[in-house]
Amino acid sequence: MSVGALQSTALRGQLYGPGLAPAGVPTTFSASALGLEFNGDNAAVTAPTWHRLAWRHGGFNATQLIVEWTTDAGAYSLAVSDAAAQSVLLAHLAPATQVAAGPSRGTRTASNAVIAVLVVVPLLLIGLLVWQADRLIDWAVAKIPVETEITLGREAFAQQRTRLALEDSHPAAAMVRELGARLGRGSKYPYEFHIARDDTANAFAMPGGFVVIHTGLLARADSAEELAGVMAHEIQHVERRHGLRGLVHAAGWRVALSVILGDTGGSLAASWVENLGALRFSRSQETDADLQGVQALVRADIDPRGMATFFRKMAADGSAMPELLSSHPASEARFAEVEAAMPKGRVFPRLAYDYARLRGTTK
Amino acid sequence: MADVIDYEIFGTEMQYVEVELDPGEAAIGEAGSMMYMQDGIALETVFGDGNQQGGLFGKLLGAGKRLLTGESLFMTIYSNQASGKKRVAFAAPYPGKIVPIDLSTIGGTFICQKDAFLCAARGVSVGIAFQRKLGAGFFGGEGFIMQKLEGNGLAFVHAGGTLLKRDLAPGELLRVDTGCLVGMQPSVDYDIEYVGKIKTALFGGEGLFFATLRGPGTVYLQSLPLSRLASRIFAAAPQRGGSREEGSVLGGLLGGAALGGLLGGDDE
Repeated sequence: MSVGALQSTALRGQLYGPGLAPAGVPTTFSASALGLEFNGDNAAVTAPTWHRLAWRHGGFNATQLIVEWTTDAGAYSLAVSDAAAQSVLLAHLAPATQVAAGPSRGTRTASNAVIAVLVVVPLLLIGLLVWQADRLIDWAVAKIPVETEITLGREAFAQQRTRLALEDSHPAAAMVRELGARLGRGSKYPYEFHIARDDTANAFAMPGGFVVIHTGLLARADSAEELAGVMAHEIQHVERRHGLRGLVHAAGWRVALSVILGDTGGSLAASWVENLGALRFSRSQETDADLQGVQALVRADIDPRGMATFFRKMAADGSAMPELLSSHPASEARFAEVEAAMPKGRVFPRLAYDYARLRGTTK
Repeated sequence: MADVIDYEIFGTEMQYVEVELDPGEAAIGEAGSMMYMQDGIALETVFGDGNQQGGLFGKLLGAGKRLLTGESLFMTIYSNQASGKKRVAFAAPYPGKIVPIDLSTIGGTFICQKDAFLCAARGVSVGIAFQRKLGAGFFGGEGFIMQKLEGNGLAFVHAGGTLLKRDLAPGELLRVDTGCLVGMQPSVDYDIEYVGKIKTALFGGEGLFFATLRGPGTVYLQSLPLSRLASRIFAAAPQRGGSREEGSVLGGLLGGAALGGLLGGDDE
């Protein structure tokens, strides 16, 4: 043992105790087999033998070694931050007299439990949202009355309208309305069909039953059956409330994010209505609209092969149809599903429209 | 050894400290906190806190740490190049008190909240102290990054409202609202504690946790954390629905502001 060597080393610490400055006094001390001995001004302070000194790792980040004892004068405490001095002390201090740092075990457990709840619950909620998003959206959409949907759709369409060049006196307008009425028979939505002057071959539907056909699409279709196929598809987006689902999805995330992130922006509702115009449907919703559309065509006694041939034509044409195909992804699987859904052996009457004349001059 | 400087603190709620430098002495200050200085004081801006000796890498490390604590990358050294005593003053950035802390009497180290440092005698180093207790870091109100002032000279820290110096006897426990802690000696245990009663936690208005401080050692508390002041001001701003506009008497009378003042005015 090199106790002698240790004895000569002056160690530094901050001493607290009765009669000393309240903020403690910097002190030097030495540690020997006999015990702690203080130097200089604090030579009068005495400490008991090592095995009667309570000690703990404490202070900020538990970086300090704190030795505590009580004499007749009161409680003393020595805080040592220097690592070398700490190791000298630790060589002497009895493990048995170490006391636990920090609050009592019970308080600690309660605090940890609360921290765990604060951290885990939001994570669980986010996880639940992601996992059950579809079910939650279904539930939320079912709660929205049709009247509300129509009101929303009307507002959104009124916003869109200013950007669209509607041609309600187009030669095909009457045909479009008649076909729409046949396809939407028995619906709870009061459909409105419009033709917009736009050379892109596209059509879209907004929640509440607002369907717009571009003149470019009229030009690309070669028969009333093909036009009816596209319209049946769009109408099913409305009937199946795909737009509303997309809206609830987006809105749900915004609300969830604002709750989680603490954003309290007040203009959320206004921007939802704006978003209505820019909705995109998922692939499964497209397939859904296709298959339901085929059935609607059959119910309306319109040849559903028009839908299949038109989609084929779109895909084969590639560059001519970027709009419709980018929002309505074309894939062999999708065509195959549509073609498989065609009723076998049933003969449909041809639609009695002079389509070539009605579709107008835009080619 | 840090320089031994004389000082005088002026003002009551919006204070500044005037430091008197003997010839050759210097003070360091947070860039931007200087209020005025007399002729003869040379100003040098250094990367880090002016104490790094370890070449470029050490300087970069020090500067990076300063960036973490949200302070400017540079510290300014104000040194007296004249032959007589000269003064330089540093002003507090928001209402509160400036307290001098003599590091030599408290053991050489003081841990404080991350933007509390105002100025110090040359020789005091300003570093960061990472809070390693996760609970205290998240919920203690001071965050994970605190400042560590080391040396044996005078340092001045500033905090909001009125500052309270409290000496904790060995083992003495003080529960503090989170956010009210300004600084402490390193011998003080700093942790958090769950309020303990769910009703108090939800409706008591003090938050879910207390900061707990256990002696021995000296702690400094502030009565008004800047964040609390800021959120009150923000809530009262007209853009956020704050009601009292001083410009229009008519609007105030007719618009129900008098009634609103009775019903929903500041209740604290």
